[in-house]
Amino acid sequence: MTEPFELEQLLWDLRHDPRVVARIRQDPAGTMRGYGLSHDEIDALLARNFGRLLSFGVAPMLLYFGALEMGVSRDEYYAALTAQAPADGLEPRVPERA
Amino acid sequence: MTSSVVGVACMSHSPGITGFPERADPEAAKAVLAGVDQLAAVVDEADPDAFVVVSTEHFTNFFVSNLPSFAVGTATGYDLPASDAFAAFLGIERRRYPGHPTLGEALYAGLLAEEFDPALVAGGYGFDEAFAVPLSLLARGRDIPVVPIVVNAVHAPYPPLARCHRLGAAIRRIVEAQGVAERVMVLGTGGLSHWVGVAGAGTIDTEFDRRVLDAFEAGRAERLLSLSDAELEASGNGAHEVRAWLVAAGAAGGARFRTLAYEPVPAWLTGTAVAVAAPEAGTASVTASVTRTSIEAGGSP
Repeated sequence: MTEPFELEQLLWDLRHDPRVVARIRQDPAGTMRGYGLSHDEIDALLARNFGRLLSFGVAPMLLYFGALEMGVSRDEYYAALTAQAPADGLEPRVPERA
Repeated sequence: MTSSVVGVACMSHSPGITGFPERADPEAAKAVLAGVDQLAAVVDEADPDAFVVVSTEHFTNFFVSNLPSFAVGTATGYDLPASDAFAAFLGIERRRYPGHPTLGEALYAGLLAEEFDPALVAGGYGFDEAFAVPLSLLARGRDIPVVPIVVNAVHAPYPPLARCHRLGAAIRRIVEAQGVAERVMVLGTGGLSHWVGVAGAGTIDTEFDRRVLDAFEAGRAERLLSLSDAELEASGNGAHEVRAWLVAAGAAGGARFRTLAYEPVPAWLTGTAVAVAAPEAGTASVTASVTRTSIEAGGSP
């Protein structure tokens, strides 16, 4: 799978540059376009469809930390993932909860 | 000067241990912290003048534009933790933690000579939970200078498990050959099973965790080297951090580990463990039970 580098660059910058956090909160779609994200990536990120974003091959930890910087709480992030149908082949084998 | 590895240990580095212990089942949290206390006593007894801490990092310093499989720190100090936001998240007051630059340089040069080709981290590196949680828990009023060794466990393709194990054996050889730190303790941090940023977070694969701990307790960590990345992934994307444990096992040279604590803690997202490769605390250092022969026997699969 090709690395979705532009998307990951945005997620990395969100965690390391407060100016990017301010920009994306003010103009989400414009900031995403400025990073060169594809229409599909922008749609998924705007919809906070984290399951779909993972299906693009984004590193999960980058996505998770980037989401936190976008104002998504940990509980909201995981609740969204649970609610969204995962892409084929991405669902991990989940053992019985301890 | 005779230099030696005076102890080898492994532990989880879940942010919850320091950042939100109250979310865990109280008995589980108590058991984990008791294990940390036991490990701190082992460290105190071993009296190291340097730590070599092996772990991954979670896109705190490295990014996919430049992501090393292995990296060695030679800095004089490290931000612990990396940022104010991390300090709040981890519940750890931010400060400067001392590095051990001369030991770091010996390890960097030694690993190059051993054909591991690590990246060099001469400064500008801040610790996330991987290093900050264990070091803050074990500091106990004395900051033991550290050489951080980073192993990629966050982005495929990963360094093979057998190579991580051999890295640990190489670390031991280099430690024993250098003359700048007499008493060195090796600590591997991470794992065990956990899912981060993906569906399944909060699930603990106790079967996998027990398999890892059983192998370590038997002094047979090499049993785990045949695990494929897919098998690790089945115990969570965080299970790749067992690489740090395998580096530590390589440094322990086949010594048996004692599990000081193991608790599945969904609130911390991890199968949380503390283990040490040493005789009973207060009796001897790990060096007394490990021979060069056993190191080499355990060093290559």
